[in-house]
Amino acid sequence: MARYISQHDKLMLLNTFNGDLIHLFDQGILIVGDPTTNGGAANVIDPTSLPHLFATDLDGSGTAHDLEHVGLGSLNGKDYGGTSLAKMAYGYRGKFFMANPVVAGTETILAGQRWQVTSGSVTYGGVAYSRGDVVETTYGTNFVNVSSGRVAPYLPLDLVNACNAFREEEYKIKNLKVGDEVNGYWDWNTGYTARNSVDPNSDDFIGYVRT
Amino acid sequence: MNNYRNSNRPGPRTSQTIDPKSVMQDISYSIKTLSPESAPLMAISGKFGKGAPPKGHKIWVVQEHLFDDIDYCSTVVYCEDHVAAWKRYALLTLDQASRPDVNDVVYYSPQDTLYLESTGQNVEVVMTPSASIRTGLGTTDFFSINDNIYGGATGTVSRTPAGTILVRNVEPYALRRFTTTYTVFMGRTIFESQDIEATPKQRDFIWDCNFVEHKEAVIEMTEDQKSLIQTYHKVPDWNHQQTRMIEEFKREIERKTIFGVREFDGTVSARPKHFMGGVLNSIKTNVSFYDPTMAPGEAFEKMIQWFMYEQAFRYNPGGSQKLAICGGKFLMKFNQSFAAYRRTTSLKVSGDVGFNIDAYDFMGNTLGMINYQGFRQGTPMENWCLVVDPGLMEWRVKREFNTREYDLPNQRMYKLMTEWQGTIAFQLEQAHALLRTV
Repeated sequence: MARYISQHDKLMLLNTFNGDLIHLFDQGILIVGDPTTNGGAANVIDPTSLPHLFATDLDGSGTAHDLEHVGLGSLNGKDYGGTSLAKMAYGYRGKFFMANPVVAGTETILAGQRWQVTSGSVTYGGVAYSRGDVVETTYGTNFVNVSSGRVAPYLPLDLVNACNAFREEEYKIKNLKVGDEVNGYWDWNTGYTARNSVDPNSDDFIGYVRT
Repeated sequence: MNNYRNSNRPGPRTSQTIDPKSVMQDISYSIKTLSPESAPLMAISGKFGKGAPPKGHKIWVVQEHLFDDIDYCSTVVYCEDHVAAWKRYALLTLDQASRPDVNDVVYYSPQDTLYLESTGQNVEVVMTPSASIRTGLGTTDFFSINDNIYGGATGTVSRTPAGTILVRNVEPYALRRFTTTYTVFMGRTIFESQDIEATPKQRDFIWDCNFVEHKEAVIEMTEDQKSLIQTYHKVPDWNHQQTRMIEEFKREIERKTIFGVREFDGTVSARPKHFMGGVLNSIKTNVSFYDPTMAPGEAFEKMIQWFMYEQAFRYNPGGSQKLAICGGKFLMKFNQSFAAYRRTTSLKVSGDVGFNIDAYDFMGNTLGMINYQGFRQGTPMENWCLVVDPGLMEWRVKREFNTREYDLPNQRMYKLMTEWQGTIAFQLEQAHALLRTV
């Protein structure tokens, strides 16, 4: 099987030639092929009849990558190993991304990536996470598998179309579990003050202001 | 310098000998305007509802997504594969995808029953990560088993691994084989006079928000230009500039309702700036991309039908009629897809040649279609189709084109400002959909 994720919960992949539906993402996830088997031609998206959304080879490699033409992006960041405009465009511009779960502890992690626990439970940096939790890696060490833990790459923050007014706070509360960080503070002397410009431990500090 | 200046002279009088200054120019004062839009500005925003003025910079909407009793089993471990006698039992992993925020906790409890779509059998939940089924009336009479029946190595357990449930065929037969299956939750079944001990369930709302945006536009004019200079305009130049400013300002707001991105900017200390989110940004669920070179015809219509079935009318909290805000080329191709129907005898052409589809009925749903020039002809957006349920959008406006002349006491300049402050409350973005190109 192959697992793909998308920022759109119900992304359709339609046949260019006869208009039929080929794949439909549900809850932002698409599983292709037999879940008991990894790899194989039948276990990945077949781009043969899918629309070529991108007319050019977006990763700048100069070779035809059909899956990239039909919308496969990269979660490795906006810059796919180069500085040309074509390479910069690759990555997050994709409409879906491959995100196969791997056994926690065996993944290859770089700092600043986002991973989602897809089953079981794991720890990262001493904090416990369970299915559905998203973790932004802060250093290159791996997850620790606690019980049947599997993790898969997840969408970067700017592709998650949630209530982004407080998405950083929401992320911290839910995933880093470090409390209600806020965008600014309020004290008697100055009223509203942007975050990080006032000492919340000062005598004047009253409380926080949400955006 | 002459002190007397007569211009009498011999010769025939012609249009070429006359003093040009004295010839009247024939100027049509009916000034025609050319807009970048091929159709007049659509008052799409007029189709939305109108709610109370906002009470702050951020407005919240509250929604409740009702319980979805359909689940998906992505992994199954048959107990008979490990211990042959346990043919009725299997360990299932249910994705609980419709509860993404809480699916780390298994929703099901012992004695709950499930229908397995792929085999047609009913199973009863026997063990979960937090409980096991009763085997008697005593306080300790609960099911426990050596976990080697599903490949475990712990020994006797009364709880399943995280995220799994142990189920048993309700009938005294072996479970039929499947790889994955959908399940239908059918609730708890109790035995005669069983104590009340069902696991309680709780529900919460979900929240969404938008920001109140403050916008302005101004014109400035010198005193002479306003009150002395005469122009060929039908109305004074000041009024003309004012009319155009309002028109353009209205369009800016309309564009915001479609294209805006919700965000907050605190760059200026203590003076936060708020950006209102628009329809495109609010649609998280139903978005699809297609190849704009796709030819019109049956395939194009079929694509629209899939789009309607899976996305545009997948959720209809506001009814079965929605509005498709279309780019021109999309609409043209959609019309071209029905070219063959022009030859049907039932079509009343009444001297008009052509074919106009302004509503499309499919599976009991009606899609009203309008040409929206915000998806401008000549840009890739001409291929887009945005389906909205206007009843689920509500204007929340505080300042609606308030205008004010402003100046300083020592200035002669005329200045006029118009401002708008408001936002849109989007309810249930799942009812809207977008079919677009990249």
